[in-house]
Amino acid sequence: MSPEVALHRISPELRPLLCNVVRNGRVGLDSTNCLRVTDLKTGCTSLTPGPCCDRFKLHIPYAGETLKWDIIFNARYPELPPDFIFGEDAEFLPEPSELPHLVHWDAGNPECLLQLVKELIQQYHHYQCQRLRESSRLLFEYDSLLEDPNYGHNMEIYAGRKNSWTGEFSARFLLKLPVDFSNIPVYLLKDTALDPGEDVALLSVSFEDAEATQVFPKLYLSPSIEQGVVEYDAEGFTKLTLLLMWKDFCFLVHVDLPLYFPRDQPTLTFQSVYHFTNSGQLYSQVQKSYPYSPRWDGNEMAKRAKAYFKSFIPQFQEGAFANGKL
Amino acid sequence: MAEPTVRVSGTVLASLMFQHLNSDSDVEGLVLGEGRIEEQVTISDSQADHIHIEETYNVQKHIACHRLNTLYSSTGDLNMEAVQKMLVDNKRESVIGWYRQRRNTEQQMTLREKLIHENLKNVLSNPHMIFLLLTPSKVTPSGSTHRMEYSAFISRSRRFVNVPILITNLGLLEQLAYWKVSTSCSAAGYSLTMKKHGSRFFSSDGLLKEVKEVNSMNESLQVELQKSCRDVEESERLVEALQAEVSSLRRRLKEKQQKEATEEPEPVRSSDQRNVRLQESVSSLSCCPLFCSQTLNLQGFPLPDVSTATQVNADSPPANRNRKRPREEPMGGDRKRRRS
Repeated sequence: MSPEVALHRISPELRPLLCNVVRNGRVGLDSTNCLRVTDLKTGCTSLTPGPCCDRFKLHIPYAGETLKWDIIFNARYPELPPDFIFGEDAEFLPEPSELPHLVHWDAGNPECLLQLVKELIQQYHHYQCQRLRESSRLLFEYDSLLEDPNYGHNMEIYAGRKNSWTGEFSARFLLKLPVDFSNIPVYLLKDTALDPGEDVALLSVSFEDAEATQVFPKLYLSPSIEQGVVEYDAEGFTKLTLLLMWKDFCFLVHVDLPLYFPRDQPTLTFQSVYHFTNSGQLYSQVQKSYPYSPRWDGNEMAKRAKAYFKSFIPQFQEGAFANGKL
Repeated sequence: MAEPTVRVSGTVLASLMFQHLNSDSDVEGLVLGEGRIEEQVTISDSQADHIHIEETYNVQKHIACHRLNTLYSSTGDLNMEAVQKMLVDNKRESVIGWYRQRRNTEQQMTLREKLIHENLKNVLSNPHMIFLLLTPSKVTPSGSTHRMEYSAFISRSRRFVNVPILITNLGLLEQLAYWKVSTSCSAAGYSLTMKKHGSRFFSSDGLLKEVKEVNSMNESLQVELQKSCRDVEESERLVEALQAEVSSLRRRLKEKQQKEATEEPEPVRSSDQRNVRLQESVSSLSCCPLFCSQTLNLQGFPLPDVSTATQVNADSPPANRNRKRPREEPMGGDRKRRRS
């Protein structure tokens, strides 16, 4: 259901609240997609003329899952606060005192519903973290990440249900990677009105059992980042190709991680998108010796690489113009 | 473990549905009735006794709120004043729960409903509160078919358990068990009628009078039966004793006959053989003047008889022979002169 359809069918008194949710509703780490509304229904009799819908399902991305919560208003009493059904999480019962926008519900404030949803998600996160206590191993992993300032406040936890057949307990951690994307080229979209959202790189780690013996990582990149990243090895994460721009000069950088990375230094291959060699290949230069230390962490390596790019690109551009053919 | 069930009569359910049908929003209210916990013990020869606990909640009445959200706040905190106002004509103890009807929603409790339920339990001090949820919905897009789902929920350690609702006048043919008497009706008209005519049929303790009479008759019968049993017992004992005596006599007779058969026959005594002892007894009696014929005077007193006196003197011991018998003067009256 598109936001426009939902806004058309909702009761007029509730429209401002819903509009704020579907237009500005980016919650959680994965803020690339807005909150979605489906199953719009009414609590009025079928004889009541529309639009009079006052209850719907809200789809909320969280930790790689999609929560489907029922939100129930009453069109006849639009000033009353909404009520919630939390889908399969029947045991989730947040403390009302932790929901200030419910305690002081203001039907005249269009942002009130969105703020309340955010507060509920925060309580839901606490609830899921509590459920991690069923597995000491996973709790240890969580506590370790919590201590790291880079990840402590940038993660979402989903503790899955125990498999009724095997009795296994699973969990998923969604982490926001602290990466600087300021030099990624502007995102080019066909529809310029569509906001691609914040640049973000998310790492999803799925633990299929309570002892964390089966772990499956997955990387999610926001559309603008994905546009900057031409391709990458989605299984081994050993190869990455970036499309970068410096002073209107676009070029590709291929990053190859060796087998014994980080002991061995990655290979950087710069490639022009304009110039060809005599053999018909894109003009490129390989760099294997640049400032590098295996003791740097990932962010430091990216930062140093970026600094190196800045210093090397002018030289590469000159070489491309001098030795390559357009 | 207790298995709770909620029983609603068709009338009450229809009344709830009618209320919601005539409302353009969700509706809610309080539910009145009675809760009962019964323990059933199944005794079997093949296995140990099985104890089965049944919790039954009979819904008899509902009180609707005129407006939503009047009993509680946005966070589920109860407004006691509003609750008391709703219960003005009803006893607080008869509140067994509350209900809510909401169209086109899931058959699950919402966040606020759970909070309200817990608060209601605490405020009314009743840990066995039930929550009735009715969710009508449209099945077909044209609205030709509608569905009404209903269920009850009960809180156990802050977890909400779904409890089945049984409609008491539909399909409850419990032919394999004793019929469980439903709780008394709380309708005012029923109470008035029972008050007016009840004394003709019921005794002061609430039992049917015939039952009491039958019980008394049964008790009397038991007493008579016990009496008869005692009589029979005594008679049997007597018979037993007599039989024992007869057996003993037969045994002795048999022995005697056997003995006589083995010994020589004794000479037959003449029939006129005298019984010496009897003769002596009669002789002694005949000597007693009291048993002899006597001559009486006109006043009726006996006159001494010479022959009897002589005989008596002759038979008396020798020491007494020479002593004269003192003459007995008759008392009053003239003495008849005797000629010697």
